[in-house]
Amino acid sequence: MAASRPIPARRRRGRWSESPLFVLFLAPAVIFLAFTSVYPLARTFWLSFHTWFMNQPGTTPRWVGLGEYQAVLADQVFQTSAVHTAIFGAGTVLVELLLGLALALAVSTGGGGFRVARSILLVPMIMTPVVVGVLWRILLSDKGLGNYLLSLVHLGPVYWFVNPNWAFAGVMLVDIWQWTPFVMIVLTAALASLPSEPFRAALIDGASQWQIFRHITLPMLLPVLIVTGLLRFMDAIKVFDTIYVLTSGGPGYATEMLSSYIYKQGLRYFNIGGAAAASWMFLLAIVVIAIVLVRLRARIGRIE
Amino acid sequence: MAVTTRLDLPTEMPARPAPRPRPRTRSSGRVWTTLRWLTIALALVVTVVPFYWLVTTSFKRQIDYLAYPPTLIPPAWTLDGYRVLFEQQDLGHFFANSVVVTLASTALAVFLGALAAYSLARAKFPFKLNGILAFWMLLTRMYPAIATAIPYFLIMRDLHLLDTRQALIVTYTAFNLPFVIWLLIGFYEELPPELERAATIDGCNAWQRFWKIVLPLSTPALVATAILSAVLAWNEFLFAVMLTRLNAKTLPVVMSGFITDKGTQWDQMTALGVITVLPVLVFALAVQRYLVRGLTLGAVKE
Repeated sequence: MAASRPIPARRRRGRWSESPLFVLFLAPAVIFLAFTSVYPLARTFWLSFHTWFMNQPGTTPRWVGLGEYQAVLADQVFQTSAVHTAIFGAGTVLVELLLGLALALAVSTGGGGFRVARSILLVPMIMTPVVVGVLWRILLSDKGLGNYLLSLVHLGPVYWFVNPNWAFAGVMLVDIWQWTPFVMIVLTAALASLPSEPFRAALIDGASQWQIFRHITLPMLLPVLIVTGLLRFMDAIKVFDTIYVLTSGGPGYATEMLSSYIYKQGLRYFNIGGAAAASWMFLLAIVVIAIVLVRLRARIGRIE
Repeated sequence: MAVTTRLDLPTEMPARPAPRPRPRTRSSGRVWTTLRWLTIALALVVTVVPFYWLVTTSFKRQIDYLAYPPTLIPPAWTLDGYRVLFEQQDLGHFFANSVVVTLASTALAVFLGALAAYSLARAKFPFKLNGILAFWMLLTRMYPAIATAIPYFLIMRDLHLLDTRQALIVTYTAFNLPFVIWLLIGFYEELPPELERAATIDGCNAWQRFWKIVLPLSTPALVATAILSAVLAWNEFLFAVMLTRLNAKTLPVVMSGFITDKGTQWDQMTALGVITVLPVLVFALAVQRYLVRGLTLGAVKE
């Protein structure tokens, strides 16, 4: 590897840098993103220090300092949705990691049959989340397939969207169904990129499959597991589509998450300031996780 | 990307003729193989049954989809769900909305993204701009979309772009662009520079190198990112429901309309579900190799 690349990456960069052209290459994307991501975020930031009910005609945003932040933090529905979001994220991601790892180990190698299985298992991940939501609404309805299958083993019926706890379990179930394939795919790729020597050595030493998994595969896979878990966590806590379709936050506030809370505050009650303040707190939480992720990734890269 | 040799994984060992077969390894191998197949079979059932339900319900008569115990295999098939759906909604128009918005935003994001990623991978900008921009891209991919929802609504309202395809195209390009750049930077940094160096000696400028050498060489990565962008755009719901009312509705928005209006018209709902899911599914499975590549590009360093 080193022999075929005599010039280290750092010096390679800018070797023929014709700066004006490269700036021109970069400019459209940067300008576009400045207008479509920096400006909206800045505007949300500005709005979060103002109170403004958009549905009252003739009103304009009025400066209230940190007032909206205080109001949102004191709002019990916000607190509830923040807790829900954290539980939802942690719960789904843990289960997805476990199931995804098991599946990855099962499908990672082998011939045509395994490849076909792998393709089929991908399907939930590509399905439109709104359609997934509608589909599970049908499956989990009072007289749906779910309750029928439960009745076959003398369980239930479960009124999924009436009982708050079951509703929460239901939205988690749907997320797990849809996103375990992602974990499986990533871990399958990670398994394929592990060096083969330790496994050979272990086999020669007569290690059992379980010993190999416990002492070789798992430790070598751990960094990828952590990064994948964090990536999934960041996406899971943004859940919106399936909640909107399945429960729209109900019954009561049982499945209210931060995204649906912000959506309702902003676009149903037109409480723009409150929605903006909640948005920024949510954003900061995600940035913190992102920084942890980048740090971890850099460290993992160094170990490799 | 550095993987050049076919790797032997432990799971494959028992199936291969080992030079000195050990009885213990072989028997634990048999248990292992059984476990593998059980796991896969269970996962397949859990994956396929809901999908089967989606498709069959769309062909069921009302007495069948409302029946309890549920009719596992429809005794009679009907196209009524589809017929009523097409009669009551201008579905062709909404389908076209989805297609146009998806294609336009994907093309824009991949073109602008490839240019920017190439520039970031090859040129060295002052003030550590390379690193800062790369981190910015990562953050832009990660922040909650809902945090920009209200400003987008206000901006589009002020520009009189509410309920237009343009609004959605701009929005989806904005989401997919950082993601495309993030994926492609890694790819371009790995691309061996020899060809480009030779082209430079022959008098090619950066644009010619990009257009004639780098783009053709990076087709697989471009396809992978384009597929992911297209799937994300096709499936997007939050901004579609927020920025459209009637004219520019995409399929997911039409779908969500059933939730409030007509609670149990399951034949129509699932028919629309099939229409929404099928194109992306066929497309994604056809180019599956690229899809998997794109998905793992961000998470696994090969």
